[in-house]
Amino acid sequence: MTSNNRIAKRHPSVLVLAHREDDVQGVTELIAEQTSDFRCLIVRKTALDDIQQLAPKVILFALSDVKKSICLYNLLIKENRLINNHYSVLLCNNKESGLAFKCCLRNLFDSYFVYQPLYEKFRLQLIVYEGLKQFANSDTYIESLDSIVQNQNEELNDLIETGLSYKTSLVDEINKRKEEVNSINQNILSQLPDSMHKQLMSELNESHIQPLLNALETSISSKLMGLVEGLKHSQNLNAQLVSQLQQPIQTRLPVENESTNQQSFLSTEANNQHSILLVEDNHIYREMISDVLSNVGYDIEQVDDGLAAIKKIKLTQYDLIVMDLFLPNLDGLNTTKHIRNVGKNIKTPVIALTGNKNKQLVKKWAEHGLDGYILKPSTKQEILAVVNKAIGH
Amino acid sequence: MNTQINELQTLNRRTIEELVGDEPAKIAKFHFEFLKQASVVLKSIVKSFNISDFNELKSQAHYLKTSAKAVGAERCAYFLETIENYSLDENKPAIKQVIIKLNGEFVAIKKELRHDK
Repeated sequence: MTSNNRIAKRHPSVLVLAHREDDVQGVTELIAEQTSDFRCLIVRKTALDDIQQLAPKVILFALSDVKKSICLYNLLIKENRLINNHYSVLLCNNKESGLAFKCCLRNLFDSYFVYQPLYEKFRLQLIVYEGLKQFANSDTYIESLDSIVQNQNEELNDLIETGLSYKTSLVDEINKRKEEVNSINQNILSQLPDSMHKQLMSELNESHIQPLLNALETSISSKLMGLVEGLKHSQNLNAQLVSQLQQPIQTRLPVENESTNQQSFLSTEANNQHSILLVEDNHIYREMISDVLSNVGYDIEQVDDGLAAIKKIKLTQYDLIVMDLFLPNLDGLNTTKHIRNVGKNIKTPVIALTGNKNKQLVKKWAEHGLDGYILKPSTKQEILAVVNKAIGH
Repeated sequence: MNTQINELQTLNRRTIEELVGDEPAKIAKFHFEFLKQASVVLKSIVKSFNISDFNELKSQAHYLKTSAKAVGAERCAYFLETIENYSLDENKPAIKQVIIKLNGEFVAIKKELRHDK
C-alpha cells in the first residue's frame, strides 16, 4: 500500500479517506489488487484543499464513524470541492451498517461497505468497479477484475460466460420482437381501408355520439321552456308595475323590493310612518342621529355618500332628507341640486347637518332649497325640533 | 388659542348624554366605537402627512371631528379643526405638532374611560 501511495498519480481515480492509515489497511490492499490508480489520504486540517486538488472519481469515506464521514462529505459538497459526477462510497463498521444503508437509501452516498470486520472483499472490489465503470476509461479495470475472478474457478468462469451469452441473446431477441411488432402495427394502420374507418365511425356515432346529442337537445329545450315561462312571468309583473306607476304617487313605495316582496309592492295602502333618508359619512354620528329619530317613530334609511343618496332618491320618495355638507363622492350641496331637479323628491324638505364654521356654505346651500339645518353635534331636543318642524308636526 | 383650549374638556360627558340620552351602555358602546375609529383615522392622517397630501389630511381630520364632537371629545375636536386649518395653509411643521398633541389626547381619553371602569 505504501508503495502504491508513493507512485500514485497526481489525480488518482480512487481515493480512500481515513483518520488513521491502520484503519483502512485491509481496504487499501484490496483496492491495490484491483488498480494502482488509487491513493489513501489521512484527513487533517488541509483535507478539503487536498481532496479538491486530487479530484478523485471514486471516493471511499472511511473515517472513524459514519457521522464524521457524512459531515466531511457534506462539507465537500457544500464548498463545491468535488467533481460533479463522482461516485461516493461510505465505509462503516458492522454496528453502523443500518445507518450507512439509510444514507444510500436516501441517495446521499452511492453505495456502502462494511469494512470492520472485513469479510466480503470481492464486494468492495465490485463497488469500486461499479464506480469506475461510470467513467470512460473503465476497460482496464474490467480486465483486472476479470483476472481476479479467473483465478477462482475455471468451471465457474465458463458457467458465467455461458449465462452471459444466454442473457445477451435473450435481450437481442426481445428487442428484435419489439421492432417487428412496431412495424406490423404501422402496416396495419396504413393499410386500414376507408370503408372500415367509416364503419367504425358509424358504430361510434350510433352507440355514443347520437345518444349524447339527444340528451343535450332535451336538456337545452327544457331550459328554453323554463326561460320562456320566466319571461312571461316578468311581462305580467311589468304590466302590474306600469299600472301602479300610472297611479298618483303614494308616500314611500319601495320599488327596490318588488322582486322579493311582490305583495308588499302591489299594496296601495299608504304608510303612515314618516320616512327619513339620513346621509352622513361618519358612521358613529349617523348611528346616533338614526337612534334619536327612530326612537320617536321615524323610519330611517341610511347612506354614507351623495351618490348613494341619489340612487335611493331615484327609487323612493321620502318625507325628509337629513344630509351632511361634506360627503365623499358628491357633497351635500350638489346632491341637493340633483334632488331638486330629478326624481320623486323634488319637493322633499332637506335639512343640513353642518359644523358651526360653515355658515356661508349653508347660506349658499339654502338657495338650492334647504329647509333647515342641525349644528353638529346638537342635542336630542334640538334635532327633533328641527326635524318635526320640517316634516310639519 | 391657549385660553380657548384651556376651557375645553378631554371628555365632556354631558354632550353625548344630551344627544343619545342617559343610557350608560349605549354611551360606553359609542365611546368604544370612537376610540376604534380614532385609531384607524389617526394612521390615515399620519400617512397623508408623510406624503404631504393636504386635501386628504383635511378631509380625514374633518371626518373624525364629527364623531369627536358627538362623543364630547372637545380638545380632540379642537385639534382636528386646527389640522384642517393648517392643511389649507399646507403648514407641515405646525401640523406635525398638532398631530403629536392629538395622539396625546387619545391617550388621555383612553385613560379617562379606563378610570371610569
